[in-house]
Amino acid sequence: MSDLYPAVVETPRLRLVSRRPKHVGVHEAYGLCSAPEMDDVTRYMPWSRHETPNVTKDFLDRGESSWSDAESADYAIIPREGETGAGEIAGFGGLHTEWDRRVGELGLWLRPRYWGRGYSGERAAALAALAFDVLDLEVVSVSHVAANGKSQRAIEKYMAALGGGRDGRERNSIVIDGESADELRYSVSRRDWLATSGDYDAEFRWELDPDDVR
Amino acid sequence: MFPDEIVTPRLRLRALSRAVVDPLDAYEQFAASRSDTIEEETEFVTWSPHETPKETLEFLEQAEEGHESAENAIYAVFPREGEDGAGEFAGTAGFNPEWDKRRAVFGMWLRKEFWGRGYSGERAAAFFAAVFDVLDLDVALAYAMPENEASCRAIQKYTDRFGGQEDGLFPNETVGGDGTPRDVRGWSVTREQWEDATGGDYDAEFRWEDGE
Repeated sequence: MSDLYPAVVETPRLRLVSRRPKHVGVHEAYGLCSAPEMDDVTRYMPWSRHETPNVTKDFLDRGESSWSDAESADYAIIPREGETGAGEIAGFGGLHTEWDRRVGELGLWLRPRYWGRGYSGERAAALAALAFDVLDLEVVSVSHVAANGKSQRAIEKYMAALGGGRDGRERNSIVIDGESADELRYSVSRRDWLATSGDYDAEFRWELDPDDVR
Repeated sequence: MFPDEIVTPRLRLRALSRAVVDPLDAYEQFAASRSDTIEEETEFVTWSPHETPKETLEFLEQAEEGHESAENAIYAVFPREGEDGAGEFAGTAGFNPEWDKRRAVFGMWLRKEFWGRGYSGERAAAFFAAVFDVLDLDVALAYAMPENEASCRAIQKYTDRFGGQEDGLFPNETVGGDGTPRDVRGWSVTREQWEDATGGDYDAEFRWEDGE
């Protein structure tokens, strides 16, 4: 087994499991990706809630192909024992690796019931460590739609904790519901990450028995 | 879709093609082995001096395709009568529309002989009119590497003049001609800002070959 990305990332409260058909069941994922509450989740995202299980199958298949092509480490986010909703999929997130630029781009969405717990920051700290410490990238970046105040608060907070900050505004950089929207972009360099945090509370494992996903 | 020719007070921009610039003549300006200034001229761009005339040929063919398909507009820059070096191929300038995002990204490369004349700002004034008035886009963007002080100054000046702003400094946003990641500064002007600054007026003429 020689994948670049670890199949499992464990933080104090979360377990990240690779978003591939062998680790995430299509029917379970469809159940949450198709729920009406997803309209709140996708309000500032360039996609909509899944209308058929086939959309979810494509979503997981993309997780597999970008995994094996070393383009993106995408994960299901699963709260660990002791958390409310432990063992359920709380959402999905990952690290998109732009190798030629040495940049890792973070992305995440969580189901509304898991909002407000600080999961976003906990996952960001672990994936930033993966980017810098394991994958030898130079910059970790993240963007949110400028009007998305919730994401802005979460990102400002965890980016400051990682040693980074806002780079600027990307105008008309994303199309949401047919309308072009601005994004705010943030990043942290490896140097600033090392100077500010550098330490991390996350464990990476490259092997995972499919029967032991939860 | 794109104008075949754009005429400003001092410049004539012609849609770049093999007919407008002969591939072997252009190679003299693009080639590491032929031009004494090309290294300096490409220090802060994302391409490298051409190694063979075939590269120049393919670059021109690509420009023709981009013009035909309305995916990328790139022009050859010629100073007009009265300018030093009138009629010479002074460089290239273009804008890349992203139609779904309703924006366009400017780019320019000038031979060193033509630096410092304000051609960048004059070309930008014409491109703002092209993207806002002719193509109905909403935002125009320009980028430069922070070490490229001359370009940063030029862009700062013309975005100020048209009511725009600097949007940020983005680390490892692009890859240089030598393959290393490079930081990028970004500026923009929105259609509203351009209209407020100009009242929609401009000193440029657009021509289409089919007389459209």
